[in-house]
Amino acid sequence: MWWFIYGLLMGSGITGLAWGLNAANTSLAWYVWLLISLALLMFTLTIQHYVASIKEMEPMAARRGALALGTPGLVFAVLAIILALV
Amino acid sequence: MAKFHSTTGRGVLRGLLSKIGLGKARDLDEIASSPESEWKRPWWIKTVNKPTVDIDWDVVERFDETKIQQVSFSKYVGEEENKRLRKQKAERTREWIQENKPNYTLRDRALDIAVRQGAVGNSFLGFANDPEHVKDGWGGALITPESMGVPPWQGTPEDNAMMMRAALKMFGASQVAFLELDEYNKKFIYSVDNDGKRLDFEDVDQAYEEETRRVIPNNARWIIVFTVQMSEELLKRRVGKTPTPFSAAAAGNAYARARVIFDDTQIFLHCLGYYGLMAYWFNGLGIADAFAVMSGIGELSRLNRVITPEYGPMVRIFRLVTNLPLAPSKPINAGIMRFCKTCKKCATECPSGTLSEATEPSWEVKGPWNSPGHKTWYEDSPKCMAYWLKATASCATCFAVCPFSKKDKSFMHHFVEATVAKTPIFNSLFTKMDGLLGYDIPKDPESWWGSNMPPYGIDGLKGTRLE
Repeated sequence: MWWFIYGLLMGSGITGLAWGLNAANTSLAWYVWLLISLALLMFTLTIQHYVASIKEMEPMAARRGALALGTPGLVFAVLAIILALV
Repeated sequence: MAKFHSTTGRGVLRGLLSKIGLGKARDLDEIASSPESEWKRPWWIKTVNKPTVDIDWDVVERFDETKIQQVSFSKYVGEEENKRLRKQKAERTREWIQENKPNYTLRDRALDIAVRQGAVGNSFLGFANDPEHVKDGWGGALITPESMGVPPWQGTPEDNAMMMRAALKMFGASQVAFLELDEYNKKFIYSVDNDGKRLDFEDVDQAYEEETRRVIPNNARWIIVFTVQMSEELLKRRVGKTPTPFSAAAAGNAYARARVIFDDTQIFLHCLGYYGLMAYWFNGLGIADAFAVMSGIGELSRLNRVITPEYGPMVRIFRLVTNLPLAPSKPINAGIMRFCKTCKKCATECPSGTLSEATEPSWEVKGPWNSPGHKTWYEDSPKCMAYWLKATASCATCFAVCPFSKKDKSFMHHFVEATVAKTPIFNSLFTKMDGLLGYDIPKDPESWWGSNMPPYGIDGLKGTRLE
């Protein structure tokens, strides 16, 4: 159920971004889309690992795993934003 | 022999596709009759003809079980030392209870003792002919094909395997596999049982037991191998490297549940017109891990015990000899033994120095307690037993720190296991990651009381349709 809602949010977010760019008559370079995709993938893995590890009663693995997976996700996201604005 | 029609290329892609049903198409009638059809296993587990452990069949001989540490400990350390250690254990247990020492209190000991109790005892022949033992809740008697006027249950070996797997899982087993008791596998049946009784094969129809020996009929040509999952949450409750009554209780409870499974299985077979012979005690009859390796339950590891792909080492393994024809399962390769070569975590964390830290397995045994003939990491068993007595609780730190001792909810475990099965190049990295993520840190024993565990403290849904 939660993954369904997550999918809906992700789908509407990406669709909203595409519409917004279209309305503004602008577009993003392919490598920005690639960075966005990588960032979303890393965030998805971070959420899955964090939630699953809490369920596994492994809070330390949840935190450290989130740090290990979330940090590159954050880097990809920041890079994507910077490159999109340049 | 499985008939596969490969529809894709090799490697990970094929594995991923097969997971969603596109990788390999098997004959439909074969799928319906395969003993593996009801055993859904991760896609990266490969069935093989030869197990990952090297076996020298010329050297393997039926082993005298009285040589194991549980029986001959006093011989190995000397009677004086044995008595001293046992006295020390009794005194420490009492003192710690009186002191209300955290993790070793009266209630902690009570838990460890209580979970070991089974409703029934162990019996080589089973209790089917014991009217006092066998009655249902309404006092009903057992049925047999003879009493019902029908022949014994008839099914193909494949159907029987599927039937037995379903039944044993209902009785409480986690994994069920089968093996033919051929001239090779027969070597894993002990020559002498734990209590000193000989185990003989004879050309008779029914098994029997005498004062000095137990007789297995030559028509008993199949072995049922099953595992009982241990509670990982309980087993990981230790203090540093030191075991507690909590970690000890995890193994004890699996043995107690196995008693019920044995009893149910023996009765089930009896009602079908067959028999099942179990160990008269848990480690009796034959070498459980050898049967588990040969039947594909898991792979032999640095522990010199089996690690399963599904539960890691968090299982106890049992075996039962039967005359019901069963389709045998095959050994597996999931990269586990190969992983053990570089991991060494169990050996370095072992508080008694029992386990080998050598990179490569060896043919050389450490003492008469080891059964020779396979290339493994032989353990110095008396050190282990001595430590159990000093710690006042049976130790399983090696199991607790094993990187395969995991639950299966995070994608990361599946990713690691699949990669380990396909290539060894990341094995060292994965061992380090395991520590960095904190999986080997002991859990607070006392917090277990408020942890709201599922029944038996295990996840019984792994690999089932309800997962």
